[in-house]
Amino acid sequence: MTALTVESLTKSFGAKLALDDVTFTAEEGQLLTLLGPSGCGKSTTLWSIAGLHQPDHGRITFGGDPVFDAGRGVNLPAERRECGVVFQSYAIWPHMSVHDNVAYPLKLRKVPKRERAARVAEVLALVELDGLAGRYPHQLSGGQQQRVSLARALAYQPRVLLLDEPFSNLDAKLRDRARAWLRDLQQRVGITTVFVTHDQDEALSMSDRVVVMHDGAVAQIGVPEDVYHRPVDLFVADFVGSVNLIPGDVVSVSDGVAEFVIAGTQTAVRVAADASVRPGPADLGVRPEALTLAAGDTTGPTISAERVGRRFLGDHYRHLVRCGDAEFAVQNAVPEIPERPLLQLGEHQLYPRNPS
Amino acid sequence: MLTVPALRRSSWAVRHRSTAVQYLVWVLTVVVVVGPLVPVVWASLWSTPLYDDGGSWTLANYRNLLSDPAWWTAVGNTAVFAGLATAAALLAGTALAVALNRVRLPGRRVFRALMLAPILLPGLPLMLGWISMYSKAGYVTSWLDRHTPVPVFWDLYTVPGMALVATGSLTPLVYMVVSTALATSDHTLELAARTSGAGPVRALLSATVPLLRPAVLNAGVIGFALCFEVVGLPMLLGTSNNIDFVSTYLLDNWRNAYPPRQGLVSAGAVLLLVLLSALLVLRNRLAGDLARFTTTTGKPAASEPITFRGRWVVSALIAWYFAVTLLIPAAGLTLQAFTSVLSPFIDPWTVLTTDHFHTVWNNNQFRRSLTNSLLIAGVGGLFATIAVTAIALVAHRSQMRMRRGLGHVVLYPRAIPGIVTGMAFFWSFALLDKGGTIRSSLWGIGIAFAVRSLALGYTAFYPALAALGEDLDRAARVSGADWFTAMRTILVRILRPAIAVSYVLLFVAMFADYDPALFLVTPGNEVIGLTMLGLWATGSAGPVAALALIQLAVTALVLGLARLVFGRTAFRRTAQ
Repeated sequence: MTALTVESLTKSFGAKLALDDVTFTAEEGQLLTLLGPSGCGKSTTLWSIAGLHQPDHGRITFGGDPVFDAGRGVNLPAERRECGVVFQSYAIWPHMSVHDNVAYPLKLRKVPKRERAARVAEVLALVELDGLAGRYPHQLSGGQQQRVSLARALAYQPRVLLLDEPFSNLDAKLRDRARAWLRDLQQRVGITTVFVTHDQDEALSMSDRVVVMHDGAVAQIGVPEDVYHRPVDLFVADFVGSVNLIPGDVVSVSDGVAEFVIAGTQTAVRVAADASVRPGPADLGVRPEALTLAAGDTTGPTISAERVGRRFLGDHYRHLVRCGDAEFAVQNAVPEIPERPLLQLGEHQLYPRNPS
Repeated sequence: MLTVPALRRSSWAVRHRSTAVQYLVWVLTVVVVVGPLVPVVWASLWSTPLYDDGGSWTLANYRNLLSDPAWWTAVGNTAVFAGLATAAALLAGTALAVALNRVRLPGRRVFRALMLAPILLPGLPLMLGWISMYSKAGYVTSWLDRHTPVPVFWDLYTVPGMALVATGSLTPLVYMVVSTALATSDHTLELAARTSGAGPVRALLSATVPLLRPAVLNAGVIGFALCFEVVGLPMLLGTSNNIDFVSTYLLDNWRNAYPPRQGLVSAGAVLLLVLLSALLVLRNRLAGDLARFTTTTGKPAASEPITFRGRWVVSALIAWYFAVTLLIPAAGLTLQAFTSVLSPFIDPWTVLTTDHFHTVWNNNQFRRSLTNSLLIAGVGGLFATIAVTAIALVAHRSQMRMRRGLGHVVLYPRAIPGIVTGMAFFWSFALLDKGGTIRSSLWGIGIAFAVRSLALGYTAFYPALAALGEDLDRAARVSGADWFTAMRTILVRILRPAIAVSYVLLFVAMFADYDPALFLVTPGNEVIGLTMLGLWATGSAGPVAALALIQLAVTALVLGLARLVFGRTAFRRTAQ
């Protein structure tokens, strides 16, 4: 069942279009990620869902009930939308104890004192903070504060859980653990969740679906594997993981195969091409780990390159190679590659250059 | 799992109370700040006083004012006075700011504390101390004349003399503005000069001081504007030599002219208001108005003060400055209050007395003015604090359509001279309160004082509010609280210390204020400042000094208690 729909959201700040016809849906119990660089409109989208920003146009419904509909003048205020929100800053109220922070939404809903205490204890146990109810925010670590924020958001069983870059204030080690923990908790509670992040690892590892945003518009929607392996455009390819762009020219196309000449070389490489590819200047996009050292019995397209340098990155190496005018990266676990490696071209895509 | 009931559907009234509160605050603020100025402008363009029937539109008031040579003399005097006082205060204030903040001077902690005293303490008592020490017949002057060859070249009863007295109170203001700029200036610039080969003093003078120019300019505009509304000083020192300032010219024509020239006075008030508003606009251009508060949260790392030989000489000079401008006048005031006669020809220890305090206590007018001032400051300050909190929350934490203008409206009273505020409320009461019930109660003066202090309270409160992330209120909203509940249960609670500090500052300011009361006072409603001004002239210096001392003591007590409770940083930050 569709728990959340966002339809044609548009919002402009002065001349700048912050949201440009943003549309997506989230199914019941799913974790949906809004992924994009800062300023892409992902937070504005989240705030619009929460009722903290008012879009100019569009429609937002929770389980079929409209909470915002510009056409019909519906705009439920934030306090009536029943969204649990975890803020990037956590926004724990410093003058209240952990218990009072979590109890606040229950108090507003006039939950009797005894049940309130029981529910607070239950939610604190859920986020593994039992025993800290009497503490004040300044006595908690960053990770604990974040869990208080989560407990507060979950306390009154909201219809949607909204998370705004919740891990950005944690250090790298803690962040990894927190991701796994949160994903597990979200699945146990089964709450529909919208998660905002600019971190592709986070998006890929946690989400049921990823919405990649760029310049206020949706660039691609799909499961993490789709977005990574079949990026719809250069922006998505580059933002989700890294991609080498090898400049050159498509000299001919036939039957889904293009003859591609890398700039500064004479030999053509036969690469896959979809229907939109026409002869002319283009970039060949290939991820560094999709370039492998060709063994003797190689089939498929290869590129012969020249070794330039390398960087050691802990669990792998990144070798810099040159072919014609192009310099690009090859990623593998081998410390040394030959001086003139023959590289097998794995998953790749051609991006025609705009004539401009 | 327990099921949580949904938010109850609230009544129409509850659903709309946030909006209602926001609009109410907006309307009330505009009405009390800008509203009273309307009748002043009207009165300046009307042929008869507004409380009389009849009359018609006219420019005669402006014509009469601008063709009165006495007006131009007053404007000239005020301009010369403002120019001299501002220039002197800029020099002294900037030098003190650099010396006390950037040089490792012996005693600088004490000096810094002394620097704040003239800003926080009421000005009139210190002024009286100056007069009793340094005027022609003053204690110090007579003593120097008699016992030393130092020629007495100064005369407080002249325009430069009054500028000298004003310098004493303007300097700390310049000091505050420049110190703030120094605290946020980039210390590495100075270090870069050091690595290029400049000595510490040279580096300070060539890298840091030139960058203070915007702050100095800003302080200059503030100081100049303040000089134009000064009223107590020319009343005390100008009257005997017939030196009129703009303020005393207007006051004199209001009170003593026959037939009354209230139209002309209103015209003068409008011109004064236009001038000061223009200066405020200029200042905002220079300083980027609210931006100056955000720097208070700036870099926490303090830069290392420099040191050089001969800094003892600088310290001695500064000590001398404080002795002359602060300690001797304060001591003089105290002596005045505790002796039956204060004169260098009589040993003060032989004429010690507490009679003056008895007089204050037994005299109805003295006692009443003290209780009136305490009431106005205590109760009025409370209302003003509530108003400031509400206004700041609507202006900065609501989604109300017209919220942005509100911050400017509440800061505008800075550009309204005290006597114009007084006149504005006089006309407003004359029009709206024909029976005179408000005017004859303390509420009349209290409201005028409160409006005048709004800007101060707001500037004290705003930095604390700005430092609170908006996620805190957003979190309350998404939890199910409407705007009003979010403000009440979250922001106001967290901001309690800042609200208390605002209250203390408003109390102190309203306890010391008297300018607007010059136009509003009715028998029985005197405030301390007015009583002191009125009775000093009649020669009862002793009881006035006693009253002044009581005013100082109450203020110091309130500030001291507040500092104990809230720590000192809160005041350092807001004193400007």
